Amino acid sequence: MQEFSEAIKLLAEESISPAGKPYFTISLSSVRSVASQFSCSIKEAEITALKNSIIPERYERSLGTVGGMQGQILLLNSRAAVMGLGGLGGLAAELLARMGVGTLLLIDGDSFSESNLNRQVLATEENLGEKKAEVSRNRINKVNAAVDAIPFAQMATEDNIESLLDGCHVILDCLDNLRTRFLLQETCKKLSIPMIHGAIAQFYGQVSTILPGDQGLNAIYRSFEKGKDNGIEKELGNPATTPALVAAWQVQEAIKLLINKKELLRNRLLFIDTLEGSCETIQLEG
Amino acid sequence: MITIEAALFATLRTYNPNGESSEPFRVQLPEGSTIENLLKKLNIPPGESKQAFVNNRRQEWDYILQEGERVAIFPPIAGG
Repeated sequence: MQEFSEAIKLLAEESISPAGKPYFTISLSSVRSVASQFSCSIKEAEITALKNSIIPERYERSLGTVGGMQGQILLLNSRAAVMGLGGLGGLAAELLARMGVGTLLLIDGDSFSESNLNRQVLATEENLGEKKAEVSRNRINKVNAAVDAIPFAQMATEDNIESLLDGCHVILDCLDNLRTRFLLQETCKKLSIPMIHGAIAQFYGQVSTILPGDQGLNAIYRSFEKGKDNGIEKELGNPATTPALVAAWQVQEAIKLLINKKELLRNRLLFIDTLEGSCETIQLEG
Repeated sequence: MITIEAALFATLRTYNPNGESSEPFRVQLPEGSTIENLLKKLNIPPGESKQAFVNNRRQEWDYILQEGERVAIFPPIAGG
């Protein structure tokens, strides 16, 4: 371990931040070479660098937001699940990977179809028919090799959801139906895992952070009947923009939660109206 | 009679009697009126998907409104 740290220190270079502050940095190619030399993962090499006050260059612009090197270490040691890899989840997973959330569970049983091309950033004309979970894994591997991206290309059900999500620090609800959203909330309560709810329809979007035991979805949706979906998006559809907006806000909540920021959208529903150009925050029953 | 403050959001803004907006507006109702009575007065069709929050708390249609309460009506959205 000592030897590993020493090797990393030898590869560190002095640099100057855009604000004019000097710092020690390590490049992606140096991280790769030291990880391969010591047969360890890219993630382990990055964490060891950070523990020695050396900033992997790829995170340099994030540190001001995530609470410095300690915050980045917290993120690299975190495990998040993205439930649903459509308009919301496909982008959310990539943003989490770019921020360096160390383990990402990518859950969706669907494959890409043509009607996804208008809004799902992972869908391309070339990958129609491919599993969303696998496409997401491949994309994340290209974006940040420090992240363990684990695809699960099946739908979450009552039978598999608990074992699937156990051990996660946060779960992003990027689903497209109320039945599974409520199943997820129930599971999160049981496993004591916070979830970040996001939903979209046409010009509108909403976000809320639900901690285990909060009323959460029960406070948001009226008279939910199991198996009956009643969001207005079924009629109005979803464009390219609102999923991106809501996914970004969900990821920001997840990052805040993982680095222990207290200012969460808890017991509040943020409702975004991009047609009128307004945001409402509705207090919810705890 | 009681006076409440109502606000209609997103797709429901079109039922605002003062013109399409989510700005709150005052509504007079007989005492004992429910959210359902309010929806009728605002000509919101029963088939339109919606949910109501009274003073930020979600309530069912038979909730009896009180003087000065703020009622926000939103459509449910659930897409991903």
